[in-house]
Amino acid sequence: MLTLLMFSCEKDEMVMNAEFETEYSLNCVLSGLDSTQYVTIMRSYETGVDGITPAIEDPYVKNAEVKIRYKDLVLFFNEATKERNDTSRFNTPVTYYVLENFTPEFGEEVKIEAVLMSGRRLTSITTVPTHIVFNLQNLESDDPEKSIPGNYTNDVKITWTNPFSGLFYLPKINIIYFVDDGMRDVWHSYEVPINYDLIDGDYIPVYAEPSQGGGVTFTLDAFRRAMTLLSEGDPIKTKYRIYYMGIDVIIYDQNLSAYYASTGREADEYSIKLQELDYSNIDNGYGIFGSYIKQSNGMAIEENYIKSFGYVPFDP
Amino acid sequence: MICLEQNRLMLLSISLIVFCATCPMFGQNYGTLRGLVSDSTNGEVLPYANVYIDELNTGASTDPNGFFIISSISSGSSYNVMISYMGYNSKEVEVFIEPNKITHVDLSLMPTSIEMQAIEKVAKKIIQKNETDIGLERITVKELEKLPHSGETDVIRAITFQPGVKTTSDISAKYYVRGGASNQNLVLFEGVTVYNPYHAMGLFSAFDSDIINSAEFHKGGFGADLGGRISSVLSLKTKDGNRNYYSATAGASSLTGKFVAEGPIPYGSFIVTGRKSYDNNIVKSYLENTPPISFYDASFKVNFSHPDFAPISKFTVFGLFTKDDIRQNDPGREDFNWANNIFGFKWLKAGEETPLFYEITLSYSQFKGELNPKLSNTRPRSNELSDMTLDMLFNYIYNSGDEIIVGLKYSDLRNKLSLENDVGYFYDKNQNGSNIVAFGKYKFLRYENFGMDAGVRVNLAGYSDKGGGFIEPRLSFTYRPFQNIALKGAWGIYQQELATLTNDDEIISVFEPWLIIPHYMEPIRGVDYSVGIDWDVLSGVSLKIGGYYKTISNLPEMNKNKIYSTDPDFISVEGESYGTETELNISVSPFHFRGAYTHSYSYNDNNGWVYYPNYDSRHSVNLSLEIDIGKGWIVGGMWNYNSGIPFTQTLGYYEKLFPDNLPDQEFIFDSYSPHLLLGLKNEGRLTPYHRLDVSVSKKMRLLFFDIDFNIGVLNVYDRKNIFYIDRETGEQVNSLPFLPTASLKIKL
Repeated sequence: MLTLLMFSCEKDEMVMNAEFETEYSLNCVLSGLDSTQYVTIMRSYETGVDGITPAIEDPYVKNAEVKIRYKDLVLFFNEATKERNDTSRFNTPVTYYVLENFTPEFGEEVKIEAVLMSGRRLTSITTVPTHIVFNLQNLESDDPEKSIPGNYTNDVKITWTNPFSGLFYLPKINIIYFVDDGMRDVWHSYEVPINYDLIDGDYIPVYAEPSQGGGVTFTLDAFRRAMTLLSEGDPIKTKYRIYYMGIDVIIYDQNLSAYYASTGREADEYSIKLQELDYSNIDNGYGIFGSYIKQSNGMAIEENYIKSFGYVPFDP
Repeated sequence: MICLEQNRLMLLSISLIVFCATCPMFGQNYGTLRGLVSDSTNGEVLPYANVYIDELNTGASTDPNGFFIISSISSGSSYNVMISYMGYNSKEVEVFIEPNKITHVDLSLMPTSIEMQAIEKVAKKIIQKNETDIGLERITVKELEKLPHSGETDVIRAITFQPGVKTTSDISAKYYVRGGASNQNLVLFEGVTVYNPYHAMGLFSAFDSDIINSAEFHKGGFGADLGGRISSVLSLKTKDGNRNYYSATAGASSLTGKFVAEGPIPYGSFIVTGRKSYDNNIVKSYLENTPPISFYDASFKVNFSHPDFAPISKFTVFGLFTKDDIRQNDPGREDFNWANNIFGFKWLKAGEETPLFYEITLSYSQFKGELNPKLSNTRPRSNELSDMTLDMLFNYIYNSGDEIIVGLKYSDLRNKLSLENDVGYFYDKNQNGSNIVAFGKYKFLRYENFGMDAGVRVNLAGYSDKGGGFIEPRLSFTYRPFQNIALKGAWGIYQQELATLTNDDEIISVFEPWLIIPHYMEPIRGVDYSVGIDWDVLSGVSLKIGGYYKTISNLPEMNKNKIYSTDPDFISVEGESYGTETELNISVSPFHFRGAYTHSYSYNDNNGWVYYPNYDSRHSVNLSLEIDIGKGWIVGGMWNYNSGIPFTQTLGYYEKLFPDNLPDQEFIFDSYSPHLLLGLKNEGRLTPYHRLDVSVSKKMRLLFFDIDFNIGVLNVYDRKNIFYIDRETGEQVNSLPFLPTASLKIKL
């Protein structure tokens, strides 16, 4: 009876939310391709009146001092605002911090520090990724293993190596070509999917996702379909001058790789998780400080193959 | 130096057993009674039957193999030996005890339709006076069948009703014992480790109840002969099969169809069981997102016992094969499969002229699990673990009643694990290891009111780099100051060198892969203390009150932030748990009432940051009532209550960046989504869980058939027990709703 009395004192209600405390997130993804870099800083916010869905309030943090340390330099970001493209949730301008004329070099370490008005300090470090080595020759190659379609019969696999394991790569395959507009040859590129899925009678392109694999595989059928589609609707094929197949690989640093891996994948369909992993490399806060670079190469496209579509091989 | 000491210890143990086996064992004018108790209709041995000599006010219980020994009996006289067992007619036989000899008797009991619970309890009280059995629960197949169940009698579900044992939902039979994690529970099938004892993501155990004869469940304080896990041991003994005639049983429940075939062979018997789920229907009552899951299990046992070839011995070959599959026709959805394959050979022998039992087991246990992502974005996972074990155990019973048990166990383990973790790190490793364990324990049972079990388990070699050379001392005692009160206690140090890659953020896992503790970590080690009082208040009324305290060190937890190959897969946390357990049993025919209450605390400590593990629950109550209303009808009910288990509360949201469309930098301005910000781990509590189940069962004989049917209702008052809450939608997903169940078994 005493036991039952004790249980009757146990609450049959649940408190879903803990007492709110403001946290901060910093986001900065340094581009090894551009000379302009951006930072956003935001505060956390409470759940809405239903206790479940997010409240709607502008989370951007203004008046922070943001700087990076790079080699022996200390570089400061400037605060700026920008009108939103998407005003479905917030309609105030985006507050961000910008640094002009800065492109980090491959393999270099960069430190970031943001000091907020409240005195809160958010810090992190990234090491810009280094070069990869493509396992193919350049676009001048006559090697049938290194040209399209060459000896390939179905899948074309392009691989690369990197001394650092665990990095994510986002490969993009493009057909580089020129179109004669009557006055000059205009440069174009057409992105080749790795495959096409036939869904309800339509061919839906499937593009490569960022992944850890040191390579990308696409089907010759996808390449052939892309070759056809790049001039779709234009009866004059001879004004298309096909140059080569470009391969761009965006290389994520360790932080960005881990961040992407933690947000882009699921455990499995049936395991039920109470919470998702929330990766962050920001000390004293949330968010991501990472960097990426891009490295390019190309493969030759055989002349006879180009001509089979009615196009003309480009002769630089 | 340590090895030298260990070799000496081994040598000493072996010398001792050889000495014991060869030296004269009887004092003047004394003899020993040894026997085997079995069911007269099918020859199946009866574990935990009570054997009692009224004139001497002494007795014994049969062991899981059906044997008993009563030593130091004045010889040259005949005695009336009474044998009793729940569900059987008691029997009294006259046995003449020869001087300086072992008098062996084979005894059989006839099943009765009226279960003799009262007699069994009376016998138990007298016999188990000095038994060092704190933390041990024995469950026979008869008791198992009586428990309310969800259409399937399930041994693991049954043990979750024991005080000190918790589950976190109706959906998973994964259990937690006295604050230990689920992978700290050892499950043995005929002494062989079963690495994944569950079907259907934990909905059921992998064991068909029709193959099980008895179960011993140690909640802690287990002796030196058991090890390899630090929390609990569930040891299942299987049936031998009908020695008298061939029979076949077919059964069906709302979840599975099954069969049993058994019968005699020359000098032995066999039993074969098989069970198969109905495709894709089993989980519908439990999970809305019903996977196309199917499973089967099959088991067999053949035993041979020839009085001329090897007197008083039994050779057994047995196997257990389980398989679960989730197969999707959609190439964009992942497939799963996991399986156990167990095969073993056992030789059980009793000394002809010496009170020595020995058991030698050679076994192979394999677990295989695979997640094939196909074209989905699921992370791949595969695990294949093979365990080849040779296990030898010698049990010598002195004339004084003391026992010495020594043994040696050699296990060769090969583990292949391949997976990708939450931050995209690929893990692909082959691990091999050998564990050599020598153990010995002395059971000091010579005094009627005092018993002690002192032993040591020596890890001569370990699976893991740091597992060898570790010594695990164990001690337990029982002291009975009054006839009806027993004080019990146990202390022990335990080591575990295997762990599952358990993500404690997952409340349902399809399967959990195993890993040998890596070289940079010490094996998991636990120190367990338990004390208790058993009080036989009145005839048919008993009360058990106990307490435990347990510390666990080097508890591996998944390193969820592993990014670099040099980052460890596990981080090490410390654990602490303590609690009290109270159990009241009232057996007054035709009623049997059982009430159990547990008050417990569990903590994990990660570098000074203390949090409750997911299974911590403050109060737990199990009440059950069975009424035998006669003519084979039994009505039963069970009510369970558990305080709310921990969960991590929501703190708020922050805007999480999704850096898509690289290298275009526009994402920095508008690629954000609200992301949950969580509070301190497991600081919140779900609402209490409670549920009432009722069942009615009937056994009858119709023409040539024995028919056994059971109907029941789970969650009679449709309590909305929370399984989990979807944080993003706020949807409360509940555990089992009001659910009628039925099962039918027909035996020819």
